[in-house]
Amino acid sequence: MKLSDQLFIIKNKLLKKDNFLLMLVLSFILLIVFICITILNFVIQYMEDIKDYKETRTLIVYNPSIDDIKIIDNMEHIDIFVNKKYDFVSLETDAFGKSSNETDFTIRPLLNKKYAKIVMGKQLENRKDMICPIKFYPYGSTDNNYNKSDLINGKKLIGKSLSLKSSLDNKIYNFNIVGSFKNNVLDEMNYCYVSVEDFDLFASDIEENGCYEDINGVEICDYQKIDDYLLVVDEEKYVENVRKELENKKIATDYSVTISFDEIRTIFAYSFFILTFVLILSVFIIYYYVKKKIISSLEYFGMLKSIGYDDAIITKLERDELVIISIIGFIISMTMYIPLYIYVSHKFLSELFFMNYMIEIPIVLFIIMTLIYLMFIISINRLAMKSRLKLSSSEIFNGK
Amino acid sequence: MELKNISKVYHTKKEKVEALKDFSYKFDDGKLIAIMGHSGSGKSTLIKIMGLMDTCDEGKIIIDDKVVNDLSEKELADIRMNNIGFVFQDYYLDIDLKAIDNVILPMIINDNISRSDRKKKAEYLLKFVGLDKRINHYPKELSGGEQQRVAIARCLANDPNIILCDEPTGNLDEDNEETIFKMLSDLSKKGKCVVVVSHSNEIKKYADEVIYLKGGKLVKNNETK
Repeated sequence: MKLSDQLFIIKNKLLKKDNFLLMLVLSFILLIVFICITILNFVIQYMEDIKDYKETRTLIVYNPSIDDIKIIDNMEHIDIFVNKKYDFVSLETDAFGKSSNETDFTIRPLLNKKYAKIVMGKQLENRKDMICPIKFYPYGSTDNNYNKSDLINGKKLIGKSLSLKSSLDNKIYNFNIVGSFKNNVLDEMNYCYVSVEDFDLFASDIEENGCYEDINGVEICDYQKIDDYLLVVDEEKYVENVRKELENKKIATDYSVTISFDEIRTIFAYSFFILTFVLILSVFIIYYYVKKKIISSLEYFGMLKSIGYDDAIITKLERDELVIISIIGFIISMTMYIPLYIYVSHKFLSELFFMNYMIEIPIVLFIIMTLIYLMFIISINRLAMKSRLKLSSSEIFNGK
Repeated sequence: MELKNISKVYHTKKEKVEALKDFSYKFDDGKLIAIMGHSGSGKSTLIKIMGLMDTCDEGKIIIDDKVVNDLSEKELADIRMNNIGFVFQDYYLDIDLKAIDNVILPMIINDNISRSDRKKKAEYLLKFVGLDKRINHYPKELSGGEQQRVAIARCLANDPNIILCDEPTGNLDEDNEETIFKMLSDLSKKGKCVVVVSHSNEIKKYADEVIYLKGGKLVKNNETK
């Protein structure tokens, strides 16, 4: 039977009460499933990325003495231990398509090459080499003004040169962008790495301590030598141990960044529970609707048989009707999902997670999930039809 | 169509019901044959078996000199499509399709009727049953008599030579009953084998033969004309 003939028979049935209800039920089930999948996918991705994000493993060591420095140098699980001047330097530039006022660009010294996984181009090898992130956003990025369309593909910067002025000697230094490193966390989007030697051209070991106005209204600032140190622990699980060990040795520390992993785990657990619950519940709901639909259509199937339709054609017609209902259900659920996604990703999760982390729509997972539902519906339909089509012949005669 | 020694038993949880017992009859083309009998006499079982919508436990069903008992479900559906037309008491039209589309419905699966001919043929058949001005109406917009006439037009869509009617006037008033019986009679005169199960004595006026069933057995066979 041709598709146009099938549509001729099916088209007016799609919005009948039973089909409409099934369509709505399926839309809501898919919507909840999609939301749960988005959150689960996000949390899994987030936890994975956080493993590579060294800021969560960074401690600030306050004003360590020479003895403290020796102790720390000999401690286990320490990846990096440097003066805080090697954190980052903000620089003014208009090289990225916007004025220097709108640009928020920093450079960092690559203290350990394992923190920059090159995805294209090469690693820092020579002086004046620079590597930038694959997702590069050298502009202001707070919760509300992050503009995805401004995102720069780091791969396209490879081979370009960048002139940067140092405030230490007022000289301009030219850098060559030689590679792109993998980044996912938004915090890592506005900086490029240079070698430690090149970083020294820009980083001062003096920092501003505070400013005030004198009686003539002239601003006067105090400066002091940077005494604090950055300590990067090699693995997340040792951070707490290292901190306690330093505490025991009366060395003052604090976290550079804190993430509430408990909150993340709670969100994961809730989403997982809801997803499991909805998946189990949906099996029963869909089974009930498909069965109810078939039972209410028995007379119709009997009529089709009486005019010469065989069981295979009737099953195919019913199956295709369900396929169309499922596709419409998918479209409705996606239509509801998009505004929810915008709300959840921009308001709820961006406030909850400190780094304005980007939440991706796992569209492939959605399609796979919809196909699983579709196959499930088709299987139920096939089973239910097989046992009931025989009964349909009797439904249309007197004295059934 | 000929039935030879047909028996059918239904098994319920409590008992065994013999719906047809050793029933034999030859249904000739060009005749209107009425089947009469009380409720539970086996009329509907007989018409179901004749229409290949149910199987018999014993006996032979012969259509065009061919025994069709052991054919596959698909082959039986093909015979229903090409050789048999049904008319039911409750019409069983597709309420989501217009009158003309209901008549087109059986033609969709018939490869011998081209797409372009379907509409023309449906219009012709609806004109034949006097509904040429109601072709674009949905079943709910038609009276019972009109719906039954659409059902007759539908049963003629694939030119069957056997027309099986199960209480076709059971839901109709006297005027409509007469119209429908007359129409069925006309079809028999055009060479079709028309078999009508009915409680109404009016059918005797139009029937060429009347069969009486009791307890699943043929008890009387009257030639009426």
